[in-house]
Amino acid sequence: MAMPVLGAAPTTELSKQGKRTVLSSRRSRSDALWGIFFIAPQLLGLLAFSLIPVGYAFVLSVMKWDGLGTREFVGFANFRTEFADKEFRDALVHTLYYTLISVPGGIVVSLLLALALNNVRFKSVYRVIFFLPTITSSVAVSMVWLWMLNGDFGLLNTYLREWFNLDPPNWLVSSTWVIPAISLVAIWAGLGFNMVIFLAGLQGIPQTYIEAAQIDGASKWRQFWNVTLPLLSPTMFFVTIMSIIASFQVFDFIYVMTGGGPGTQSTTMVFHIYEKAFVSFTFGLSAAAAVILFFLIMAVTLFQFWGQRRWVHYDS
Amino acid sequence: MSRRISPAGMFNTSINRRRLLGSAALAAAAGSTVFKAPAVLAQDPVEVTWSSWGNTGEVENLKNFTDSFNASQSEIVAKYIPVPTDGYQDKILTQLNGGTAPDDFYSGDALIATLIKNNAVADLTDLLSSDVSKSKPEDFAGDLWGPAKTADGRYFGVPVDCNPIVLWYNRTLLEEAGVTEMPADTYEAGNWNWDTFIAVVDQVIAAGKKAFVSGTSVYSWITNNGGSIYADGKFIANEDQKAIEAYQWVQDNLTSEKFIFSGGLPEGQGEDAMFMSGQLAFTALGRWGLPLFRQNQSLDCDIVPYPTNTGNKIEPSSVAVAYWVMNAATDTPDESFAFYTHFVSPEGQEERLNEGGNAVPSIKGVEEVVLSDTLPDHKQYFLDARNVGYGPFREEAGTPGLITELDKINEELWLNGGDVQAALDALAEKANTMIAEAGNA
Repeated sequence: MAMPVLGAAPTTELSKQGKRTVLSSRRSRSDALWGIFFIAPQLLGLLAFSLIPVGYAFVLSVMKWDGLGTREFVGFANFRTEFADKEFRDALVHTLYYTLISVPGGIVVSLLLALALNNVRFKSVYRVIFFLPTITSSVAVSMVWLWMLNGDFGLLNTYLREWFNLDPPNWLVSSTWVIPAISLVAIWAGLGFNMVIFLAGLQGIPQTYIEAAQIDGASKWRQFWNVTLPLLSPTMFFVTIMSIIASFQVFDFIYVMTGGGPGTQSTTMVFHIYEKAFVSFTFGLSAAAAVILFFLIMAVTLFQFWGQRRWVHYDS
Repeated sequence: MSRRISPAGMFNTSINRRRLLGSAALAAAAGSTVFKAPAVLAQDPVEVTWSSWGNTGEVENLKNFTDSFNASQSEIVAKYIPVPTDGYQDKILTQLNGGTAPDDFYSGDALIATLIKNNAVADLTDLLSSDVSKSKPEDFAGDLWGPAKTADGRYFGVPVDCNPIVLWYNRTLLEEAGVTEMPADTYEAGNWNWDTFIAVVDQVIAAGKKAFVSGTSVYSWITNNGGSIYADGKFIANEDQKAIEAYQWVQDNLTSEKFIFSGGLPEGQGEDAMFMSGQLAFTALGRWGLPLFRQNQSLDCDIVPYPTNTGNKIEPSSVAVAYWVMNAATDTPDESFAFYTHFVSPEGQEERLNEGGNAVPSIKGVEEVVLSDTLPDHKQYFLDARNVGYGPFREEAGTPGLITELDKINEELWLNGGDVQAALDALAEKANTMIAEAGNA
């Protein structure tokens, strides 16, 4: 009987293992390279159109530059100038006012719409119809609403006068009503997107929870308040974050519908940033305002993440 | 220092550097044709790119002008790159930063100061006075140079054409309101003044129509009252009694709702639309309103200069102007200037502004282009207003961002009322501070 060659087997085994490790390492390296290759277009786009411009905005915020020629380092002077500028402070207030109206308004209306559409026939048809404003150009939306909100012969005021015998304001040129009017347009335009997200959230709620509540004798309101809403809270959190970020960055409706007016009554942060750069050619001040807005949005978003532990339920 | 292009270097070489290098490279690539290629390519026309803003009609008109220029000679191929009016400045700035700006281009009065300061546009002082220029600075009408001419007398741009602001009035509306003598007739009789104007305004309002939409800037009312806005490089309207009086008069008319403030009209739904629809009697516009008004068969309108309050028949009013500049970094200065000077020459302006033109020539000698038009009846007033009018103030337009800042203070006054003297003082403080900071006094 031949003696088994001790040690030969382990050597072979080790060798095989080593080969496997090498192969595995090669494969993982190859996979990683392929992975990088596949995400490269997106990564390059992110670098070129987001990260580098954001970084450059930070650099510009401490410079004095009129858009051409040399830049002069001025430290934090741009930030001091912006904080001392009444127009900047007004723009901040207008932005917060717009956010306060458009975000809660948009969430409530789109949630109600999603609840209404959750159990109806031809749901997908309604979904498409309500989603149409989202895929429509914001300039086109603005132009249509510009005429709808016309004080003299706009559709809205015509019906308010004829049906309710009211004396409605000239929405877009009234210092009091211009921000609420633009918020209304924003709510309408964003309704479809939020509604689709809420519908997806509603459809992800297991029916067993609802049935259990029904067996326990819970009313429709109780079912909604104690079961549906808590289970919808992650969706609500997502929609809130996205809506707040979008509302802080409102620009297109303002640019087309009011040009920041009347006076500066609808000048928001991003419109102020635009004006500082491309009207006044003070790119340093514009970048400083952009950096302030960046940190403001970051602070609000972090606060929301901190606060979500108290009201968002991830247990499905 | 700004880059200055000497007229001595113009048109004295048949092959420029870019053409020569390009020819050599292509010739080398062509192998056996190495000796033939440069000779062939030397005759190739040089491309000159140029840009302007404009609406659809204007762009079409300028495309035709470019085609006509290209057909008229074989040495230069002008390539027109129209840019939408919204965002024009942004695009030009970006192109200048990227080194891809056109060789010749339009500049608004607010942008040109920044371009001059950064040597982005060529100093044309010597070129304009040289033989290669088809028109000399003195050939241009009125006082339209504004920020294109620096305080030390150097030229960095030329008025492309101009638009003297006059009052357009709806004849049908005035007749229906019971106005028996049209404003042009009153003007001819030497009685067109603030009192007769307000009398017409009152009749229009009594007939239930809107009379006049007042813009944000009211400089024309100041100068038609004999007042001054700038002197010795400073904003002085707050100390000028005639200017203060004009401001108060405008505010009184806004308060009594005889005038409507344009800033109180919705964006894009301004006085043009009201005028076109027969709701507004007077609107202050240049000749650019003509193509639109011409299309409206039901609109019967005419023009009249601003009414005065000085006893004189006509006083200076503002003239809207854009400037035609040449890229200081152009690779083809000879050809770029050849197209440049043709564009603003008498024949160039005549061709651009003929048949449906929307402006008035900025150069003297081609007035017929306005006078031969069928509309409006009193087109001579465009030329009268141009000849006595004034372009943007160098101190103001030459200070980046100042016009916007002044507009905000004015808008606040016209929208919400307030003390006129306090508003004028605020305007003076803002203007003089920014002018001093820009070193533009």
